Amino acid sequence: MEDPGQAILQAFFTALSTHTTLTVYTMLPPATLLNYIWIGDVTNSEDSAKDRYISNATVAVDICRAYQNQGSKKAVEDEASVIAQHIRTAVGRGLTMTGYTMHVCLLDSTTETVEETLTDKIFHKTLRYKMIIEET
Amino acid sequence: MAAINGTLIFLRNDTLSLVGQLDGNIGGSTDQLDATTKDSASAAKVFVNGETTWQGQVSALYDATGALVLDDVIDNLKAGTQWTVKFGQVTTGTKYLTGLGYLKSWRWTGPKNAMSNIAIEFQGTAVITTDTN
Repeated sequence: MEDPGQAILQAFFTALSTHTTLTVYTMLPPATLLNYIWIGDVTNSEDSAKDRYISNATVAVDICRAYQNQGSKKAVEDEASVIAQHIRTAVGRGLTMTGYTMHVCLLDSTTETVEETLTDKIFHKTLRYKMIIEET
Repeated sequence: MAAINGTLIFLRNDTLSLVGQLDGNIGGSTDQLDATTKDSASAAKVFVNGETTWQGQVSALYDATGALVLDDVIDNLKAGTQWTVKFGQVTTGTKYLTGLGYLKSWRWTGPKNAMSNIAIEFQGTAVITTDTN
């Protein structure tokens, strides 16, 4: 069995990069960049049939926007809504992958956090998706 | 010790393996004929060994592609087509059980947010024997 981690990142990157106004990263963006989408934290556990490899995977999509002085998290919420809508309906129940078939892709949970620095208020919204993936 | 992983155990109809197999089992039994009479010794029940039979069931992922899939199971069940049931390991030199059997039931499930599964039951006819691949 191979590890689908990179294929998952690539599938989400391809799906999101044309449907969001923020720059999409699959590696942690530079510290100076405060407005981005980061696709990271992939988990994977094997759940195979006897004649094929199937795994349960999750991936976190972190949407980040920063404001100086006054700021609102509405932009982050709107961005998350666009992404959730795109993944769930526009793309279907599974994203196109290379070397794998994504059978199920559902929003598992969302979390929100706010950081404050001396100059910025930074809003994060993390969408965690769970998937069933079959190696082809 | 030569115990084996259950993942190595497959159901086949002769040379064809059911596609996408998950869990499976096979079992046998014999009728026990009660031959107890009023004068049986020590008031203990007495039995005579009767006829034997065997049956089993297998679950699998639903997959419409392959040599032995749900479509074939349904066709064989409706037509009463006899299977050469083989249950066991599949590599050269390994053991399996074999006998003639009929398909007894099939079920296809479509759960939400999970893989679609099938489950079939088979009923053996005549004796079951052990053979080697």
